[in-house]
Amino acid sequence: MKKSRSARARLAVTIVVIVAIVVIFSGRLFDLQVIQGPTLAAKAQKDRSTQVTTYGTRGAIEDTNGNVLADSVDRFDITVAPINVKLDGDDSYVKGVKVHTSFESELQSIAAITGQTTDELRAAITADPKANFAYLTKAVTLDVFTRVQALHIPWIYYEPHPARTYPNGAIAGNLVGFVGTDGPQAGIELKENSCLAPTNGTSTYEKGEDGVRIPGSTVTQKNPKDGGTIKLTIDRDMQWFAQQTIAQRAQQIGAKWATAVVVRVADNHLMAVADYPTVDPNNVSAANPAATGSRAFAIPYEPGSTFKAMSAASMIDAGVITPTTKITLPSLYRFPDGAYIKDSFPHGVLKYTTAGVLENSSNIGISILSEKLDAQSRRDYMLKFGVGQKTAVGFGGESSGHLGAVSSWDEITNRAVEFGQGVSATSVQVAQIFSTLANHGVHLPLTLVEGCYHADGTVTDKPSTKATRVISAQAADETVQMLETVVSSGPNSPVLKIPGYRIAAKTGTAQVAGPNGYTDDRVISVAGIAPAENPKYVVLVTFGEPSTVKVSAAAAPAFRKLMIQVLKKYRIPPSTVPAPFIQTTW
Amino acid sequence: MTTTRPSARRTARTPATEPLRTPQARPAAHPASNPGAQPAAHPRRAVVAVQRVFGAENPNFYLLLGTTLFLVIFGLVMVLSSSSVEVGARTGDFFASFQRQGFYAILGVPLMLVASRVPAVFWKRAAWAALIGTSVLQLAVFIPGVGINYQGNQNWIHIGSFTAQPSELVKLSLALWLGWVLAAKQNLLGDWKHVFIPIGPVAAVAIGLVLLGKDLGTALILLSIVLGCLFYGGVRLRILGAAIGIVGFVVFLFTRFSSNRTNRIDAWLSGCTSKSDQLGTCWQTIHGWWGIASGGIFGSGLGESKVKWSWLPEADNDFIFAIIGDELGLIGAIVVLVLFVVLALSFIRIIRASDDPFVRVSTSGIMIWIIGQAFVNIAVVLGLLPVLGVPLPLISAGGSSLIASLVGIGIVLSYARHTPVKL
Repeated sequence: MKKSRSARARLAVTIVVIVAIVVIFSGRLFDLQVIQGPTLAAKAQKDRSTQVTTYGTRGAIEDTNGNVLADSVDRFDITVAPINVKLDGDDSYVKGVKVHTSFESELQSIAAITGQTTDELRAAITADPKANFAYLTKAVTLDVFTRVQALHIPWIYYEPHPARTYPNGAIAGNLVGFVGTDGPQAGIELKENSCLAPTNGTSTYEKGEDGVRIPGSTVTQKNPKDGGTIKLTIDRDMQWFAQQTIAQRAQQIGAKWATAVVVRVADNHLMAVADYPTVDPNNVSAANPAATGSRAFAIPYEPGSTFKAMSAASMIDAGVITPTTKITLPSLYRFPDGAYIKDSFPHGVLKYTTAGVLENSSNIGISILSEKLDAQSRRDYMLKFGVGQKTAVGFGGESSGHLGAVSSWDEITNRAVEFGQGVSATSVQVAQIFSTLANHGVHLPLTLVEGCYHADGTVTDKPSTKATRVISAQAADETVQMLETVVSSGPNSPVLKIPGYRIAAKTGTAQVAGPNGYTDDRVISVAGIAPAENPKYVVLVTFGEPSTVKVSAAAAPAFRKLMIQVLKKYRIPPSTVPAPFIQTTW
Repeated sequence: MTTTRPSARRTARTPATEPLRTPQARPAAHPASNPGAQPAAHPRRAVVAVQRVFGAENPNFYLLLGTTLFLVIFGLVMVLSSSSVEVGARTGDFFASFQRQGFYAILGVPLMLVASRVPAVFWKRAAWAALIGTSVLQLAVFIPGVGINYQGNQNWIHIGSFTAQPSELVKLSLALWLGWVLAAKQNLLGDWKHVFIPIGPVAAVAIGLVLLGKDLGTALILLSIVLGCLFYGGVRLRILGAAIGIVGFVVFLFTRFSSNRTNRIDAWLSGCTSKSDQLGTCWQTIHGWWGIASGGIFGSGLGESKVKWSWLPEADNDFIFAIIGDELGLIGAIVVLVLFVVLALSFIRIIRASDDPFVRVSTSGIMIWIIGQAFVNIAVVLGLLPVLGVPLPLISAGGSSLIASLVGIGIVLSYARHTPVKL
């Protein structure tokens, strides 16, 4: 056949049509991939994407030597996507061989590992069969997690669930606090939460239609940031010793409660703040609900004679008395209305110097001395020593104690505040008074937290070191010298003395007020400074409402034991110079 | 190929109608071999015999063969990429689809090369028998136990542990048979009765058998083959126009009677915008678009498609072009389009080079089948046509489709070998 022109034309038309179609296709491809491309691709990605939270780790709490008091551990929540559960079981492939596992046996395998019953698991799954998410169990250990994971059940998912552990148990449990299911509940965990708390990150991954995570599709929107490490001024070993010492002594004398505070004079850092009873943050529910915080910060009491040291120091600073100011003590200090103040020991007329008043802890003596300075000035000194206001620590639930206005003082209170009645303070406030005396009259902010150490090396939350002079160095030093007589020759000298060291201390036996005036209950305490010639540490022990022995001598053994430990632990060399003689009587 | 083409052209021009002979091509192919003296008669015949077996064919042959082989190998790569995730999740063997497709390619490519060695006259003689034979196979899909119903289409049969789609072979035999009929009636095509008889009833039976199996996509391809063959066979345009009008009306009626088809077409016409369409009939189209869109210009990278993670049904088959667009981007997708254009051009060159009406018509039938089906498939993926369920020839996973396409191209190659190059 001769090829017709029409046949050639038809082939030419074919080429034109093919080219036209390809041009249309290319245009459509350009439309889909370039013009609409980013929009459609984003929509597709969104459709496939699942967002997950990535967890940062909550920061640790350490003592001053880096011993970990609170730390985070990895726990895992095991979750399920009920909508993906196949009630007729799942097929899996072991080396290419199909294996069928029934739903029931899958439940049994999980239950055997998590210790739940299959009914519990089934209930969690079938509560809402259309749901995308449900918990099977929460906060399981890594071991449980890996064993469940090894079952390779396709509808099981996992979420990390960081949890808290306290490797030192009850040591500093009163200070560290604890974290409940709803977050931090008490102590440093709560107070320093902004430092400790991690910032959780988010990331998304894309999944296949069957829920499989597509490899390499994870996109991190925000990296999680670990929380900072809180470093306390507390010395774990000293804290343990203090807790042990007061707990043992409190049980011996039947005290309802006890506190102990150890302060380093140079920087006013708290080395130990012990409470009895106290709490193990690992097992908060076992603790007395009233003892889950720190009594030393939270609950003020009428401190009693330990305040006399502050009173004498204030009046020396004011220049109205000297350590050797001579006064004559009647057997009772009478008020015009017939009320009177008496001493803890009956006596006739006595001739004491100021030092003698402190040595023998005479209420009458300090009352007579206080007549030399007006009430407002005396109250101002107390305020400067930190009475009636919270310490710089600002601990959770910290109390400011109670120091009434002068106008609220009646005749008796006007004198009684000088020996620590009619006024209340917390243990740390009392310890702070003695550390100011020990620090030659200069007050430094009381410190519990050394700082928040971040992963990038920065340190925040550094404590203030602003020094304030409360009284002159001379007044402070002279007061410390007077307090030495309490240990060297006072009535409690035998139970307070530590051979080789010069110790300045003041005891206190305070009456506890009840609804109808003062009761038979006492708060007994000893506050001391060592070594007296060059003060390094302040130790305060306080026992509340002892049932067997109700005088301060009962607190002395615990004080002595703790002070010896401080001297040993911090390697304080024994004193080489004998105490100067101070006239106590005339 | 580019180096042999100009010389082949030159040698072909001198003896205008003489088919290309290897001895004439020899000086160009071997310029160093003794240009002065002619070898003796007897050894020369031996050389000719050897060169006829191994010697260079004409450029059309290599253009078609090269493009085909490239598409087949490219298809294997894309089948591996698009199927591995899904088949792995289903059977635990990530290479299952790829291995099966590789096996079909290993079977199909030699079959194509064997077919390319068979003289054209053999195909002419076999046309009737092939059409009857394949139609009988197509009937077998309705025999219970032999036929298989897949997604509503009764279009498969068992052969041992394999399954096959006889309709793919019907496409091939119909193209051959139409070539034979139209060649025989070469001078009678002005009369519509001669055009209609026997082509009308025979084609109706062949297409009807496929339609009985509810495979509309394949039926449309068969219809295109018939109309294409009439077009290239030289049937007058007004007769052709009338035929297209009647067939178009019938197709329209057919789509309206099946609610499944109507839904799909309506959803497509509405642009797949409604939420229920997107979760229902448009699921495949939408995820195909999403795949293509994720590719951008340069593609997300081979193996990086995300819609193939069970989102896109038939990712290795009817929607493999979406995976190509995703992983290889606009550039890769256009390369595939260009390859089909090159394939079409090599078919057209072979048609133009031949004086034999049987060769011309059957080649155009095979062209319409392969190129037309490719375009329909791509148009479906791009959303320019409703979902019809036809695979992308030479690329999509599917044994019957690949082997039938390769044999069809092998037949065209056999024509190319025996046709002089004329441009």
